[in-house]
Amino acid sequence: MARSSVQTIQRPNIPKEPSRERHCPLIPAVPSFDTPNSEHNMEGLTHTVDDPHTYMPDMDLDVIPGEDEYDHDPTLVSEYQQSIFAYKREMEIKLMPDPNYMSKQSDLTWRYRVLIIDWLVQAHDQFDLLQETMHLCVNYLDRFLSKVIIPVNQLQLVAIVALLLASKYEEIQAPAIEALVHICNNVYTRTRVREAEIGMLRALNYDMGAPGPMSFLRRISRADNYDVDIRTLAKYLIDVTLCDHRFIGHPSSMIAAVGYHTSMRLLFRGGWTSEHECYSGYTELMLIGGVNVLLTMLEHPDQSHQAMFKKYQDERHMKASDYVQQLGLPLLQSLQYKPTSDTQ
Amino acid sequence: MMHLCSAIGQQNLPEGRPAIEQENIVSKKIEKLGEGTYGIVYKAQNRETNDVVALKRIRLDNEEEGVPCTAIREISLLKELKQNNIVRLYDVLHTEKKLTLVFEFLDSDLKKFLDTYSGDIDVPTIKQLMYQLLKGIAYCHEHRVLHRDLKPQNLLINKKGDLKLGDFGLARAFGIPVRSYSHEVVTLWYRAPDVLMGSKQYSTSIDIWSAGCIFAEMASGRPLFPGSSVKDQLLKIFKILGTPTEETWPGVSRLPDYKPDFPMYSPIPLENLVPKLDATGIDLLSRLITYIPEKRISAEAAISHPYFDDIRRREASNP
Repeated sequence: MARSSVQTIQRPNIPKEPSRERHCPLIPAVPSFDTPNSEHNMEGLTHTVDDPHTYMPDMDLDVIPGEDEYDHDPTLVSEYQQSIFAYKREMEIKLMPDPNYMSKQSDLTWRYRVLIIDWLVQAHDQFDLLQETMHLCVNYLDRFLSKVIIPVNQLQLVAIVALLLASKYEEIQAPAIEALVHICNNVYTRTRVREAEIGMLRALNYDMGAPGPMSFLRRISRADNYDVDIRTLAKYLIDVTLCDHRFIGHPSSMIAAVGYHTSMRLLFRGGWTSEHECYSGYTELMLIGGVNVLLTMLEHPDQSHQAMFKKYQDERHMKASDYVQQLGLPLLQSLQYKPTSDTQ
Repeated sequence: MMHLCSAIGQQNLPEGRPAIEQENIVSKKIEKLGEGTYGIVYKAQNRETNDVVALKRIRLDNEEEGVPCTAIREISLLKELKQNNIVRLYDVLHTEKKLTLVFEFLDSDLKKFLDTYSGDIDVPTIKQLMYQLLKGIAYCHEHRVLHRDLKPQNLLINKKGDLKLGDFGLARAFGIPVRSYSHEVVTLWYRAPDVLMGSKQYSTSIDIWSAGCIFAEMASGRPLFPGSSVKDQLLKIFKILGTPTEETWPGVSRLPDYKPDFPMYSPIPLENLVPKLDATGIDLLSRLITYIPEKRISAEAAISHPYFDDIRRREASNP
């Protein structure tokens, strides 16, 4: 996005085998991408809170490149980075929705979640809101539904209220309630939206500061000298995770790492090195489950993330979704499922 | 469906009844204290425990856009910030008609304190207050929060000499890298020159500038840069620190509201303005009100400045 509008992600030059690097000694080598029902892995997540340092390796190791930029760019707040990231790792666990909330809902199913998020993606794009706002909005939606049982006909109301609150927290200017009511074809009155806003604030206990994946993404990106292609594609992939309930209950730092890892694979940029491990806090083994779920979703964009796919076909997103469909995914599949000599 | 529908269901109840009952249990009003960024602040007493608290009340019935974002951010951020130099938010009472925040009560604020003593505060007190201010700021920044409205009125103090940051109505959480945020922040007199010249890419350094202005005000008894407009504010700063140039502040000419025809002033020694401060105090002040935002000292580093050596030594000996 920082580049000119004609920029698209280029075809990769040399597909190569992912290299096997030594594990970061500071990270425990436990498999960790847990499926939402996995008790065992939820324990793994709790561990993060108890001992953040096992997951938050010391960033001042002098072997790590890119340190200079942090000394000079004030927007990266170098003096507080470590404490801020440690704090975010704590908060992302505290403000996580219940991955099994649908079993408590009587009217809703996960399919309704796919549909409402698809609609929210379009609304969010229409108001030209930040990517952080979308992640915050989905966090509010899922946390609310983890606590409150609603009938289907109120799902859209909950969705716009989540978008309203996320915008009020994150944006300089939030959309007007009038405009939000309008995109719902005036099904709800403004008064009703205001009342529901209070209901949601209370259900969320006024804890609105859930950390999203974008800061974590930026940090992992240091391992590749802030490579724009990997990061731009990862932004799309991270957004795709919003559309599938299997990613609920995973911390944003892990979502960022899953998106980044998948992006590297689709761009054939080598393997997950010790630097990636150190900056992300996750070993490849911990991510592989999530990467596989994500790759499966990418095979069927029309079913799993239609609006997101369309949004990222735009030039301002460097046609990231087109790249995945037309080049990245077919090439990756041909490399994985066919003999290596058999490239087209 | 509890919250969503109970909120919707309350629409036709007699005005505010459940809330008033609830609030009476918690507190009775004693006196009006003033007005914050939004809402009126009252002093009140808990009927059960007799604890004195401050209530900030925000009326919602005239709010077309629902709960103000200032209130949402203040509540959410203050729930996260629990430290001795930050005002404690005890509770939130919420109905459709109004929102009441229950805060820890402190007798006074730095503005009233300065007025009471006509600006003549002794040096150890200045140092003690400044140290607490910087501790509160450092805690905010470590928890990715910018206060964005530091000024004497928003620094609460009590008879014991405790200082606490209050009014987080303009505060916000920041990401890394820090994005562009609104430049309509901070009361004019305490606003950093980069923000005055239209920078939206400010970060933690915005609060540090304010802290520097407050430090000088405590030491001299009057505001350091009492400007009457953005233009006048900049001139007041230039007259003391010298007009910045590309040599003294690389990149200044690229700020949106920089004017090549700013009148040129030479810097004057800070000692003349704040004779009460010793050499280390002057050194700290100059680092707090440094032009180049990224060269401005961090709150964390300022706490370790030699100016506070004696306080830190005392802290170390009786923790």
